[in-house]
Amino acid sequence: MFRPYLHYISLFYGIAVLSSQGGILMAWKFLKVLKIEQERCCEVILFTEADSYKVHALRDTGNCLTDPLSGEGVHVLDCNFYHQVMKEAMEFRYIPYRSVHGSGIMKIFRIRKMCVEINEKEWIESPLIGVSESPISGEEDYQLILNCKVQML
Amino acid sequence: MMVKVAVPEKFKLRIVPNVRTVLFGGQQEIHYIGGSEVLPPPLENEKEREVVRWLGTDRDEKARKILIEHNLRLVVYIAKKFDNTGVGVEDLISIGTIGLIKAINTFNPSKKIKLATYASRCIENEILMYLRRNSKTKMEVSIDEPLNVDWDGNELLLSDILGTEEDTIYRDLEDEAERKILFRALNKLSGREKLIVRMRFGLDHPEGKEMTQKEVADQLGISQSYISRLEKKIMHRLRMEMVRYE
Repeated sequence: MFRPYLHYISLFYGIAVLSSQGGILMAWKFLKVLKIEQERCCEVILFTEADSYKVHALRDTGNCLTDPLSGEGVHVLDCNFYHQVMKEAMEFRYIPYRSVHGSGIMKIFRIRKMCVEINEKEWIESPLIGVSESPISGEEDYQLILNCKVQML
Repeated sequence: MMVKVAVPEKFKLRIVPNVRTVLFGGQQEIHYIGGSEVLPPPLENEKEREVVRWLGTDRDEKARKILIEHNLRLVVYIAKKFDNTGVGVEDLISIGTIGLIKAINTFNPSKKIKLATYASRCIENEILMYLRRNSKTKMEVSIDEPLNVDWDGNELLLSDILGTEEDTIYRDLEDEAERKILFRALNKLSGREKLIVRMRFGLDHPEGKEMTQKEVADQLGISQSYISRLEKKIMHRLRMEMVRYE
């Protein structure tokens, strides 16, 4: 009775097997990407004189920006976050910087302290924070790019 | 993104992207950010004149950034001259930078003066104004000033170690409560008894001056020994009344 349809059933069965394999592969890759993303990002709390702010930070060793005056590393904060959320008047100064988008001067200031949660909480006193000239994350996944020196701690 | 390189009739190269890009697409954001170990040197005269000409045009923003960048050394140099004022160098540089920005905003090239000369006056003025403003509050210390930080990030503030004797607050409250009880008990006494207590312990006197038993006796026209007996009786009675109210 099913003979005439055997052809289609076997075809359907073949497609189902292939697509489930592909589905499992995609799910596996997706989980791997999620894990990579988790390891790339961490939570950071910034403490200023007036308030504290919790941000997602990218652990990107590409940020090697250093203050020429003090030799300290500078963590780069998203300009939108600074202007829309922080809104505090800070005593700032400028330092020159270079990036893939070009070069220029970046406004930097010191905050009271910050707490970086990678494997455990790491406290950093009086860190330097720089404000980016353009948004650092297109999808607003993170608001801060940690300096490469932090990841050596 | 696929990379294809082809030279006609020579070779073809095609780079297949990794599975992640194929499956999930999206842009990979690159974050190389670097800086220099030293601040950039001042501009050459000709270059500076050219950049100054850009001010007020559509390249105004770019001109300002270049001028600020190449005059940062000047700000640091001037700020370091005020290092002995007790204000941190970084704070002085921050103030000086504001002076530099003001100088660039108000600079007039037609005045035949170099930008560095004009900017150095503005930077110095800004720092001096800041020092004058701050000299009044120099000796002040904030009660919330952090003195030390432990490994967990907990701060020890000045307000944590400032204090008084333990019972200062309680003592005043207790005194107030006892005073109330005493006056309530006093009101239970007769007129003469109340008068004797007030005279003996100076309750009515503005300076709280107490009178001796002799003085009270003379005022009331009775003997001093009678005042002594009355006083003992009054104290006993007051004690009983106060115990009742507690």
